[in-house]
Amino acid sequence: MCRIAKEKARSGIAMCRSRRTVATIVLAGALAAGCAMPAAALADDASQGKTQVTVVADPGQTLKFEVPTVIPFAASADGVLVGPSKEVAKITNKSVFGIHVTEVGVEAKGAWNVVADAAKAPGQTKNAIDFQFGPARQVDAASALIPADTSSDMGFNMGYAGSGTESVEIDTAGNVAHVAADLSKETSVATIVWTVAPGAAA
Amino acid sequence: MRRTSLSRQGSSAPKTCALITVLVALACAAALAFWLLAAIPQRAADGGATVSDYAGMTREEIQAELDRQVADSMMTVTVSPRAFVHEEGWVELALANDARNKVQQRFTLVQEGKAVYESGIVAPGRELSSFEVKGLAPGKATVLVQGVDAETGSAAGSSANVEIEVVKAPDGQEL
Repeated sequence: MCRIAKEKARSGIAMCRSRRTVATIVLAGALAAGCAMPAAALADDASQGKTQVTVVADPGQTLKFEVPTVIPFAASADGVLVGPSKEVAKITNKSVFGIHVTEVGVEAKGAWNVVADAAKAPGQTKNAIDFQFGPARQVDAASALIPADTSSDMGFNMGYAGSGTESVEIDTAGNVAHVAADLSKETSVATIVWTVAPGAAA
Repeated sequence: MRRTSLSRQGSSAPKTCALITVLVALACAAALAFWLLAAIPQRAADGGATVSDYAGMTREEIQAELDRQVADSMMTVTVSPRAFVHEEGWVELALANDARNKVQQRFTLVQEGKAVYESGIVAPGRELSSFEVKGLAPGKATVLVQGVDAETGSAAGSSANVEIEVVKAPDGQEL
């Protein structure tokens, strides 16, 4: 482990002074040898120059997003879980460039067992829970116990802030069975860890 | 003397009534507060995915409470997508706790499954921009951002990770 050797305290968010530009435009390519020739000569020269233009995000710009750290469920008497509204439970990109969720990991907590189907869990499996989440509920919590690779799932793409596509809604569903825990008190059943990277799903 | 004693008894009655009224009002307020608190499940300190039965609440009340918890748990993550490593072991990497966050944050830098750096507690509105790291090589790395409850010091909700790229700082570049 290493310790902090230097810390700069500022209010708000600051950028690296040496890298404040929004984008760096790189021009590369070759021009035809006739660039210095008279126009008439160019007209006669069939060669064409190609200019390659690339844009890269300035590394001084920070990746910024907002994420819910709690996904609460209400358990009904028949074991069906009700989750938060997907319009509220969403990840929102606040960066000037697009980002996407590359991986989602779930870890069971306490005495809870995250399973594929709580209703089919054997009776000796106490506090069984299954839940699904994501823009299309495509992530199964049990499968995500080994982190789920979402790097190619375009549903987890988020456009730049203000693009209108900067949010990913988290729709949820699930069930509980063989509950021995006291549900009159809110109980943590699992952690959900989102991994985000710049760019879009490949 | 009798008149005086009668006068004293007459002046204490209103004060006694007022005192009784105040005590009854306080008792009612305490009972109301207890009832309200009992109706809402106590928030699980470590968050993540949580379950409760929300007994006694209507469907609309339950939905509103679930949504409120989510909104209240929102955390902003601010990390530079690229870290610059200097030969002396210094790393330039902006890690900031947004001023509007309700939690403190702790940042852990992980490369190839090994934690090579862990920050201290970073309060909302503060940031780290450079620090000494041993064992960080150019390539892929991940920054783990964990919310921390300011009162208890325990983890607040699930963490969020950011994939970053580690590059060697250009020669002669100063921090």
